[in-house]
Amino acid sequence: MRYAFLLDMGKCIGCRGCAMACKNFYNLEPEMVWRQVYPLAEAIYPHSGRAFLSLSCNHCEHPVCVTACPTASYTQRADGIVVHNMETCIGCQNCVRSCPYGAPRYSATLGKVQKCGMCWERLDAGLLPSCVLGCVTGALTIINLDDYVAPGIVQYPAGYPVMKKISPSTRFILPKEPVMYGVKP
Amino acid sequence: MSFEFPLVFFTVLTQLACGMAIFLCWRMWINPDSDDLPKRRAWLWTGGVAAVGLIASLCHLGQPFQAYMALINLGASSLSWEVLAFSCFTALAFLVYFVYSRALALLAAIIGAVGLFTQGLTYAPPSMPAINNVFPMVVFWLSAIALGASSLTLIRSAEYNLAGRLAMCALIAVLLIAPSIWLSGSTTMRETGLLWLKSGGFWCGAVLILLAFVATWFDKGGKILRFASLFCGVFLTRMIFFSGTVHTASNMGLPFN
Repeated sequence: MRYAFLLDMGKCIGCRGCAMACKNFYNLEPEMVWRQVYPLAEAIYPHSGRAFLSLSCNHCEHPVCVTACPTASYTQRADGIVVHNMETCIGCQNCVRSCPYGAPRYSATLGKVQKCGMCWERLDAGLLPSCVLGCVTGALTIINLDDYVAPGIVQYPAGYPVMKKISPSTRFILPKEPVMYGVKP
Repeated sequence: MSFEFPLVFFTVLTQLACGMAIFLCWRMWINPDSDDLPKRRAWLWTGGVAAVGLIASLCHLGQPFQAYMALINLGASSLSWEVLAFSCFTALAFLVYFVYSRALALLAAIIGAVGLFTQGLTYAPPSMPAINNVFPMVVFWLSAIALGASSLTLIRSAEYNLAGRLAMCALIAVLLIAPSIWLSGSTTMRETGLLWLKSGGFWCGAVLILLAFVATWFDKGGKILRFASLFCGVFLTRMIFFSGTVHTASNMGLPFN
């Protein structure tokens, strides 16, 4: 069992419902975000309809935060979820510097780092993560990477850093080229 | 843009202290019968500089009173090793001042070297492709040797040694060549190279190191001025190291290559 986020970029409309659901559920401070929606640059997706990357922690196979943290505040569960323990965090921000995806965020108010834990408490209770529930188009889902096989799924879409040694678990379905009705492609 | 002053002070001062310890130890071993008092005072300075660096690093923490917890992850984190090495190094430097033993001095120098090595690993994260290589290690070692050699001329009225001069020359070369190479690298590396080369602080730092090198090579200018020029140069370029190195996350959604 290895949990992972799956983002269908063809369905994502960039509404930021996932980011807001996460923020509301965890009562985050105004400047803090655990999930962020990044619009794809026109150089990558040159169409009038936009495409987006909705990203939080990627719960990598070999997470760099686990080895960067001097207080061992990060642990990787058997199901692949990387959990951050705020109690032992001393706010050194080495994880913030080290994560290529910018997942850990430093809260100056708390003097500690925070990040997405894939709502592991909810998953353990048989519930879906708040961001998945908050996604109005069903673009964001949770999959089990060990037995999930589907065509067209990519690990590194354009606009997303390629880090093969770290191997982020998030998977993507790329947006399709827009179809102009009445015009044959 | 954050200059990360606590980290700048921490890295520069610990490197200065390590450089001092390495040269002091070397002199103690090759010339054991020379004057004792200036050498002992130099070890006191070494410990003091390292202690100030460690205190500066606490200012970077969100929870400075829990800094001791940074020693927990010695099994995986190079930062834990860095904290351990520099804490032991500082204590040993003070101990050498009181006990004055060649064996202890050697131990202090070795642990300082371990600290420099772990520092080179800690500040080469995969999120910053430009410095995710041997660059921080080389710059930190060259800074330590150059600063250490330069500072001892102040404390012990010693002459500049060749290693210090060569380190200064190599430091300038590495600082100028690396950003130029980054310009032909990936998007993030190219952005880092441009930021460094467009930064006034970087050029001021490089010129100050160059001035210190020229002054020591031709034996011009006062020792204090030479050291101040080198220290300020290293300090300014270190500010750019922390503020001008681009993180991969800053390009999310933009074209990478």
